[in-house]
Amino acid sequence: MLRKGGIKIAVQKKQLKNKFFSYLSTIDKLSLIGLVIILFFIIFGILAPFLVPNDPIEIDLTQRFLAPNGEFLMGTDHLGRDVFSRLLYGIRTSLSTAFLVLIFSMVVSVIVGTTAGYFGGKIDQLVIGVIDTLLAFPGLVLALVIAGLLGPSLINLMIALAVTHWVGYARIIRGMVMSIKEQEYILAARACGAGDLHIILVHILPNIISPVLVLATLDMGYIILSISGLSFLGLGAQPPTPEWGVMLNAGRPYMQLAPWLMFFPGMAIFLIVLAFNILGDGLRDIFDPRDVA
Amino acid sequence: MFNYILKRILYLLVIMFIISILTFSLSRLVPGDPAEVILRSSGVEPTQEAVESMRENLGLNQPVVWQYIDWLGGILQWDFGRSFTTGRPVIQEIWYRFPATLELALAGVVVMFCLSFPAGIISAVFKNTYLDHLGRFLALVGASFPSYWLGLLLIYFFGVQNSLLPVMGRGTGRHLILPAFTLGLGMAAVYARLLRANLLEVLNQDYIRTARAKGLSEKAVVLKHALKNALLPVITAFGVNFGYLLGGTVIIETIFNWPGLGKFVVEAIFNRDYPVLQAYVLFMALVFVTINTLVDIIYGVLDPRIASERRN
Amino acid sequence: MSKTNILEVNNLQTHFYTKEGIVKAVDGVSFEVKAGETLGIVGESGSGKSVTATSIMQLLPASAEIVAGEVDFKGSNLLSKSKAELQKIRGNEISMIFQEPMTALNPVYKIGNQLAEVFQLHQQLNKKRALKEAKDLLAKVGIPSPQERLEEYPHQLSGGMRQRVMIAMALAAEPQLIIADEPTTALDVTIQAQILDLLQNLQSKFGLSLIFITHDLGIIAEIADRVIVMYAGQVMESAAVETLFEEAKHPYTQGLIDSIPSLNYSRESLVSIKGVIPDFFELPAGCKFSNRCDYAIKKCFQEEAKLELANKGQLLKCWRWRELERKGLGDGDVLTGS
Repeated sequence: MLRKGGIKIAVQKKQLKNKFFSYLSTIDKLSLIGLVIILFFIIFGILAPFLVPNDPIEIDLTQRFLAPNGEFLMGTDHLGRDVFSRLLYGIRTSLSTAFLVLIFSMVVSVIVGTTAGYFGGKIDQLVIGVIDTLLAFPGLVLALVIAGLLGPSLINLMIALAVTHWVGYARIIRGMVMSIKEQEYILAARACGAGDLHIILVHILPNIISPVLVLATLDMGYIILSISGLSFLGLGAQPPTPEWGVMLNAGRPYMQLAPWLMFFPGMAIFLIVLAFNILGDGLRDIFDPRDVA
Repeated sequence: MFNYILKRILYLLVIMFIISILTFSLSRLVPGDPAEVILRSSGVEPTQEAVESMRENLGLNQPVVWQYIDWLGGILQWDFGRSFTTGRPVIQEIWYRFPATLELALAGVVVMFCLSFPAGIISAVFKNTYLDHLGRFLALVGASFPSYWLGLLLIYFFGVQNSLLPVMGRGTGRHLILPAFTLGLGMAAVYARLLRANLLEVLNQDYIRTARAKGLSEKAVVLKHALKNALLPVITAFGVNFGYLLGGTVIIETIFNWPGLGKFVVEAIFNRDYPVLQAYVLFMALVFVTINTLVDIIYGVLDPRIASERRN
Repeated sequence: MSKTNILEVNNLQTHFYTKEGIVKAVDGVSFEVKAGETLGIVGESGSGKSVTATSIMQLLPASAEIVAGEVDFKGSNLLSKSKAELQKIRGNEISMIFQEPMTALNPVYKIGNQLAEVFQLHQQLNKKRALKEAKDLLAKVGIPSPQERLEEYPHQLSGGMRQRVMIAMALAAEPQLIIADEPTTALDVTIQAQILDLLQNLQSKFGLSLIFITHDLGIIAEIADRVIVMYAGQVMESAAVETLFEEAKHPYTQGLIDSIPSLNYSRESLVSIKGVIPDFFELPAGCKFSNRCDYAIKKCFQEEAKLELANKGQLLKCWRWRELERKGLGDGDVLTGS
């Protein structure tokens, strides 16, 4: 009897624990945090001109290397500029650039992937050939070299990233469209005399939207990392543009003197990337594009 | 198996051919007249005659197709052109620096394995415990950490603050620690997650229940019966990522002043040393495709189902 | 505890914790297995028979838990044993054969390796001797050219061969009890018969006890000494095999027997139990079978009957079995409206 009671108590404990963990592992709560961080960044980015305490570009050599203080929350850099103000403007650079790259990649890959997947045959063979070849390059290497050949600038960097980035999506989307195409309701729609364009727009695209959005969210972090990384190397945004990677690189020689110059921009990149990854993870658990693909 | 390998190698050749076309057309991206660029970069005033003779020299007056065939012919004879800056054959420069990059990449892989395997296995075995949540959170953080920031932080703490480890250049094994860790950490995060997911899936399989029904210990069940199955998809992913890893060394080599290919290429970009860039892309693609082919073959050896499929 | 009972299961309760709530997959099951006998457990899918088996071995998935009961094996309760103690029993004294030979063997290890493992583990043989034993065992379960099979991978074998390998694996450590969970369901009919023959031969040869789980009463008739009939995680009826087929008293058992197709009946007269096994959360409050039972009265819907002992050691969980026995079950004109 005693032992039986023991089992029952153990069970109750386990149930409680299970509840606690299922609460913890409810990604929804966590991804909500990710979403909130992202929204914060966006709002701060939009409102940057009204929020910044100091001009992000104006040089004041009398105020170089000031440690973080009441006036300069994150200190000043080697040219006496306010790091906090530059950081806020950096949100604009990073997010808008990454967003444009993402939109371009998405549009191209949806068009290419859907066309190839839906029509199949020769078109598909051609597309898949191109995709496979492009995927044979390590994407970052190709982007690096394209950006390098075009010459260092933010626009060229965006082109380089977009050109190399759509390929992966296109492949996934093609796969999704190919499997959706075989579904009964598509056959039914065709039997009712619906045209190809109608079927694609009404029956196929809505079905790939949510997995594609998950992919996009998961990828946003990667794109931001790439942009800042290549800018860090000097291939993207050029000084004096406030951009986090550029700021990191500029602060590098003064590491000993002014460590805050490399601390805050890095933290900003890390936070926004983490937020996108958290959100993407949560969304993936809901939709799981792998199931569709 | 032999047939399969032959087929893969044939496929590799086709891909390389298309890559060569792509790489060749990349050089057309360069704004301005290449002849003029070369003259400028070697410090010669680009007069009308000088440009004209340079164009003649480079074969730029020929039709594009001929130029391509010329170029490809050179490459097939292992002639990738000469670097504008050093004047030496590009392929020599690349071979000279490749070992350093390979060393760094392999060390990064070692770090990656040492971190991701225990983390992934522990997370999966202790699913939904504090240990698992901690592991998953750390993996998320690791995957979001910019490698260039991590590199700078490590330099700051180990080099500037404490002088515990060398932070610049290549030499002793100690030089390798920080760059390898920087390179390995981000990848470790990705692989820990991948391994966890695969292990969890495998641990639900019937044959795992069979292994338990035999009376095997949990350790034997996980390490013998589950791990080998869970590793198969990880190996595929690894093949793709090793190429990315070689590319990813670019930033880390620059930060740690590591005398490898990546640093060389960044310098070439700013020196507008186009033959170097072209050769680099071609070289990386070759390495990348070769590794993928190797991984495919290894996969077949590890997974008897695929091996027999290929035999038939 | 009787000396001849090798296994006694008392009031076993296994719950699954799902998002929708708690599923009582095994709900107070009791039975015993005598040394050398074959106990058949029969029921539709979802009746809890497999969960009962995996509960005995404690090989349940993470979402399940044994919440009460005892599983006494040779006089000691398996449920109070440590992990290490259990590992010494599994595969050694009690072993198990699973339903899906296709997925129950590890695809990346050779047959020899997987089989030798048991000898290495429970008899501390070295690899070489273990492989020799494995070869002999493969021959015993009727696998031709066993030496070559040792070097093959599971996917190179047919379903029937794989199940023979599973049986060999279960026999390897010469256990006293084997639990076979639908071992023939995934196989062709001819292979089924071979495997059943093999199991029966091996059983008499080694003198082992067998728990045979199936949804197929035909197989039960062939192989079992005693039978328990499960529905919704509970034992509905339990009897010696002849008694069960000749004098089934529970309406559910009768329904199962009536739905066995036979050459003598035309398709139209094939009776089957109406409806399907309901979702666990929609089970009736009283007798779990009441909503599908042709004989259910008001009481059946309100209250659960207790297992009662009828003659010839037959156990029944039904309010009306005495009545139905008198009137004769299955005489549609007397009792059924259908």
